[in-house]
Amino acid sequence: MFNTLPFILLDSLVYASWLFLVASGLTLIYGVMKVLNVAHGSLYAFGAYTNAWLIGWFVNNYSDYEYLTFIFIPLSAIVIGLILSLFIERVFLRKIYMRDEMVTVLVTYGLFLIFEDAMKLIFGTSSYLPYQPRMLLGNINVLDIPYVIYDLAIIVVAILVWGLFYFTMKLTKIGKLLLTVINDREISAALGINVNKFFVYTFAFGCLLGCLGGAISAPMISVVPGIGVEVIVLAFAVVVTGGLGSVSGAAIGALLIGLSRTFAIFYAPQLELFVVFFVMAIILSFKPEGLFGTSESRKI
Amino acid sequence: MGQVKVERYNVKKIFKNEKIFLLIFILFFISSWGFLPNYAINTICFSFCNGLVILGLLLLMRVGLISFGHGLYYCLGGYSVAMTYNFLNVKEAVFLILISLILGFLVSYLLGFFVRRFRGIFFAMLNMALSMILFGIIVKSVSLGSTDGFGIKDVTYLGQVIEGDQRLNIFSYSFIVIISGIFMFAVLKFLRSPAGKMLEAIKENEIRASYLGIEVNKHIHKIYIFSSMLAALGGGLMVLLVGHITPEDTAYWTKSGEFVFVAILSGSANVFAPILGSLFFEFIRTYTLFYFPNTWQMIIGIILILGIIYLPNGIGSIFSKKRK
Repeated sequence: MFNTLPFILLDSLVYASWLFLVASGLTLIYGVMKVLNVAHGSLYAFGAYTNAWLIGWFVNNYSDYEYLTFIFIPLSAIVIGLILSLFIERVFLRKIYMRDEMVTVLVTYGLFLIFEDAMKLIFGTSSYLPYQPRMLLGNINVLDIPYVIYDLAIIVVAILVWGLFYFTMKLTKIGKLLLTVINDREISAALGINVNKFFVYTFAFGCLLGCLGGAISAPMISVVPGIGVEVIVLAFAVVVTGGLGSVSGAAIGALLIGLSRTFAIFYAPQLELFVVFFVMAIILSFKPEGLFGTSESRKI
Repeated sequence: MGQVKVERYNVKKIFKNEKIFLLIFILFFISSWGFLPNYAINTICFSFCNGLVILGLLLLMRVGLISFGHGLYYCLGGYSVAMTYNFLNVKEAVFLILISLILGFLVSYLLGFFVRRFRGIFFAMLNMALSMILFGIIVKSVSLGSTDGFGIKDVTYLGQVIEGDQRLNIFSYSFIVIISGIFMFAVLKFLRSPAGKMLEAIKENEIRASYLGIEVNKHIHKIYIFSSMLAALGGGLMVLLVGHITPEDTAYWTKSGEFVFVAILSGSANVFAPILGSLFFEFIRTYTLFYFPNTWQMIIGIILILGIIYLPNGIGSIFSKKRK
């Protein structure tokens, strides 16, 4: 038990960082825009596919410069994230901002269905294995057992993303303005804040994070059709556990769920998926709005 | 004088009566056994099974809730039938259906305590999470058939033994249609009753309704149980018809999303809409899958989005409440 404990903790840290990367965009978008973006899973898949395709193309043509493949991780996330977020925001979401939250869920669900098939049409149904970046970084010995450096680097990226959020919200002017928009959309518009602009930027940034999550995980997995489905379900569990709309909440939720799932995988593998939602259900039955969520006052 | 008035009232009521329409509706479908080809009968049967789930969603939609996880009860109902058949050797359809209803009741009664505190997207997505838990459990445990699921062989309908190995016959067909008819009637009765009228009040304004003396959470719990039992029944009938059940086709959240899609497009106007919507959906799917096998999901998505954005007063009007 105690021999494996450090590895369980390390594994769960890696898994939690991955969860946080995937879920942070979802919770940011909900917090600012009150849109639960079900298509976030397809953004993840698009990021993974684009990265895999670019790496595959580059390695085939310029096999001497394999270390350059790292550039493609942020590059593909930025390119595909911007294109898709602008497309989704301009064409669809803009029309339904004033309607019920459930409508946005249904519309983004429709988008998710469209993207699922679009991905099959664009990238085909065969799997991609962009393992080069992960191989290049090599292994490191943690307590005499080799561990992949790439996986450890994900922890660093996750901490960086969280730090970026935290300090933007606390220290910069944009952060303060964003807080105003989050608290009351109409009042902030009346105060002269360009709410629409904030919406576009937030949505683009959230989508970019989703794509980044996909692009980073592409070297760790085999990119096949249907990888987006599991992601949205997991990300939703994380986000709800932490409280919808709170980025720090998503970080705590990711840690809790990452830890419990890794324990489940080590000791009772058949409970893997069950544990994720069990943690969520327990937290929600004590605090229905999530750990860091704020309860909404209802109007008569 | 008074008697004449009463009579007139009755005559008027007969023509306005939805119950009579229901009777005609059911009789029409039973008699269609005579003149429709076999594949059409099969599709009708299947859409009646799915239509029951959507009937359950209609009840929830009347309170302004959408569940993205009714596949949970669809799957439970199906598995209860398949497993009772295989392990307890029960072959009578009526008992099998009864077991699926009981299981649907028990599970939804317990989960209801948890789910009834949530509204809107939380309600929708928590149900999805619950159905994914069931999916996870079934897929990972070999004793529950894992991804292979279960199959059943011949079933007796009220003691009538089927001759040959034709799964779809006049007994099974009329059994499914009549059971659906009975439950459509139950929903119709319920929506007319005071308890059914409360649904509108809760949807309009929950807090106002609670001041009027309605225990909102308890009432939503009841509705949840009712709609879950309908979904379990649909799953059970589906297994009787198809003869096989796998977790991917039932508990996975894309199936629940399909139910939501049909429920949204058919609306919550009356009890016939879910069945007709489901019929329409199944026939469209039969042809679309034939001509566009790879873009089927895409077509659903496009129809859903177009419907919601450009027909706000039509099918999307269920959620036309403005955001504060």
